[in-house]
Amino acid sequence: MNNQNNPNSDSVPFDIEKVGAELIAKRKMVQKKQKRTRIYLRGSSLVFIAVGWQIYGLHSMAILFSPLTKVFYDTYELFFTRQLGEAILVSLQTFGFGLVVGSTIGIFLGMMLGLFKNFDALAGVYIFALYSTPMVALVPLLTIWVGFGTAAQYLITTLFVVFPMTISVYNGVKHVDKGLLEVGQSFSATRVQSWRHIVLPSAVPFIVTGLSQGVAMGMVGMFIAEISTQLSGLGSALTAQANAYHTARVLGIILIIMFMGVTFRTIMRMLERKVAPWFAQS
Amino acid sequence: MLKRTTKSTVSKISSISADEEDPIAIRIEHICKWFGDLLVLKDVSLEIAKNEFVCIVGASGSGKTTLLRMLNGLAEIDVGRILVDGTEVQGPRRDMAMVFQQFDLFPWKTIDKNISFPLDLAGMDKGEIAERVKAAITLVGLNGFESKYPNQLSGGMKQRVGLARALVVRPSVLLLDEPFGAVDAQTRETLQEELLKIWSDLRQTAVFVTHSIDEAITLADRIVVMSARPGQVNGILDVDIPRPRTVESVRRDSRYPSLREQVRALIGGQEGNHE
Repeated sequence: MNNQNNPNSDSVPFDIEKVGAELIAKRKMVQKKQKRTRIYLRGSSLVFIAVGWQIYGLHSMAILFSPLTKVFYDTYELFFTRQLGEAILVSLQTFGFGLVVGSTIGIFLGMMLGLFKNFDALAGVYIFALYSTPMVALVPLLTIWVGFGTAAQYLITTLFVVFPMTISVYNGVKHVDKGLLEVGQSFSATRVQSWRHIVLPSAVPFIVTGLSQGVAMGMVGMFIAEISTQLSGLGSALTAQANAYHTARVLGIILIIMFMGVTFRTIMRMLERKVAPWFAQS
Repeated sequence: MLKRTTKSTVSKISSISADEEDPIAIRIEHICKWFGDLLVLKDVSLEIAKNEFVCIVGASGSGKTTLLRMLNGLAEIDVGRILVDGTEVQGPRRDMAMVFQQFDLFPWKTIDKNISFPLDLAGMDKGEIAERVKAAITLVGLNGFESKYPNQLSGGMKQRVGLARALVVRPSVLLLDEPFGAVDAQTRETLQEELLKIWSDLRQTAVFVTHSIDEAITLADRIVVMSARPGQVNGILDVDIPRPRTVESVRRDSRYPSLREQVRALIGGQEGNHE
């Protein structure tokens, strides 16, 4: 800033401070303008879709499509008369159970596979095979085994979460910096100490990634379970309404599911940034 | 034809065990090591006195780092044995501490937690840990950085943490594996200066691996020069430049040029000089 000491300052034929200030102000203006444009675009696309939906809905058969206002009204109505709120709670409960139990098992299995080469040799192949199998294929078999009850919903959701979690944690454990392990060894860390101080912390970002995938897969599992068991929750509410051709309500439930998905995903994104600050900064 | 000088203290094997007066801290006896079917260390023997600063210099492939890892109990000894303070090295021990080339700090631990790591492992009393960490931080000049994370620090600062993490153990033997190899030349000299200062206070036995001849002359009491493939001790040189030293005072010393030539000749070629 202070160009007193700069021997070349006399030879600069213009005022650097002034030129700089102008340039910076100009850049800020451009950025602000771009930001404003994007907000306009976002807003207008929302209005365009809402209006388009409304107009198309008004001109189509009620069985096929509904105007947005009717979707909102019918869904609102369903909340009070048909226990939609309860269905949401049941779904969240199933989802929560699957996520917690599935992640716990997944973290445990992933750690075991990553830490013990012999366990990997023993069970690794089967776990990778199951990870590669679309879980949907197992659903009919599981319902044969445990019936169409709540247990089936819990079990299916859990299974959807377990495998992505296992594989993520496994990768995390396998990617531990060898140099850091050696530091632990050099300072006489016991096996358990090196897991606690080195392996587990370096697997944290992978665990969060696994959790992210677990959330996505858990939602899929939950809806598949609810749709196939027809027992309770949003999934079965969805099929019930669809079977009765209440298209407006079906659309409303889909919007609710969409909202849930976006919410979970946002939470996971925030968690990913929060949980490993040393990752974010590098 | 090679000049082999050992410190005047040639010992008798019989007086090793638990003898307080034994002036030898480290005995390396007939070490051989193979990587696969490649012989990397061939009959390496060496004695290092207590409170002596030894630099091991050699081209890449001379097995100098492997030798240091064996000292720390990190690498297996195929043939031969190493005695430290009279007991054979059979694995990592708490009376030795290593400073690593790539710093190897825990990115998820703050600076003070990184430094206290060896003490946490040992299950030391919390008050004692805090005290020692504070002393180590002051020693390496990291005051004010306690709660920062490693990725907020420059390379030079990171290696200060690495040094503090080793010093906090208060080891009787300090091992340094090319600790200043991963920082820029300017920082390297600053760190050498700091190490000279710190070591002149602590004076514990130090084994420093480097491939920089200048660094070795600056820091060492004795320089062990190793040849490459297979690694062998080519010669040992006394650095009789008086302490206290600074990087500058060593460069200006009249003995410096001839020492440099001697080391270079022992290494055999230009490869040893990376500065």
